[in-house]
Amino acid sequence: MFSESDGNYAPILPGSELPDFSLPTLDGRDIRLADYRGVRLILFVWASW
Amino acid sequence: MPGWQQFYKENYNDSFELMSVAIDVQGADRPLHYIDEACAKFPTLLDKSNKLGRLLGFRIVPNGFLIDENGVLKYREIGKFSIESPSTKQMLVKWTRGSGPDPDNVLDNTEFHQMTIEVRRMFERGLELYEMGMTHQSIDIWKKALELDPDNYIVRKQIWAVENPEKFYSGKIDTDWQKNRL
Repeated sequence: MFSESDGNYAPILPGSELPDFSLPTLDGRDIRLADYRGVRLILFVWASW
Repeated sequence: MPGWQQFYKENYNDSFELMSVAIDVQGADRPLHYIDEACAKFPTLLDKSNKLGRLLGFRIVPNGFLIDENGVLKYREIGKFSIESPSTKQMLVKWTRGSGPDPDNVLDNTEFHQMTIEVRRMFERGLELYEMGMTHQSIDIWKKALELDPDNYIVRKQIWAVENPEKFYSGKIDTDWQKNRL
């Protein structure tokens, strides 16, 4: 599990497994990466600004 | 965002999911505007504290990451990731059909950049103050973080958006204004 309190560490590189993490949807439901095992994911990271 | 919804609609099948992650300290309403406008049907997550930036190593957006069925990162693109790029779109269509990216063909020369612990703590302290309604104090601490980490475009643009909402949230984003500030 990816912890908020972790110190500096190297980012995940292609070829490595991602640790699980959770984030809320815009309407407040928590989603975990682990819920998407078995699915090919496309993560698109953006911002409103 | 309309381009992503179009892509999702055209390629939709059970074996993949498109998920967008908005890095926005100002909360869900800011990204929701763009999601609603595009009638986007894919899930969008909110990452106020830039958790993913720490995990995947970025201080800039837009970025793309492909994660396979086993949770393994297969591809990353930091900055300028866009569905409007024909080569990106072609790669993503293949991905939705169960193939690619071919590891030999992935040009992965993106440099990883992470916030230092010090800058990250300042960013997060600023977020706490912002959420308590102490906007001036939050901007002060974010500006100090930016002095330590001037290439951090997440902190830089977040300050701009909080200080100058009219340049971001009243119709079209004023990109000329942004260019003039750089």
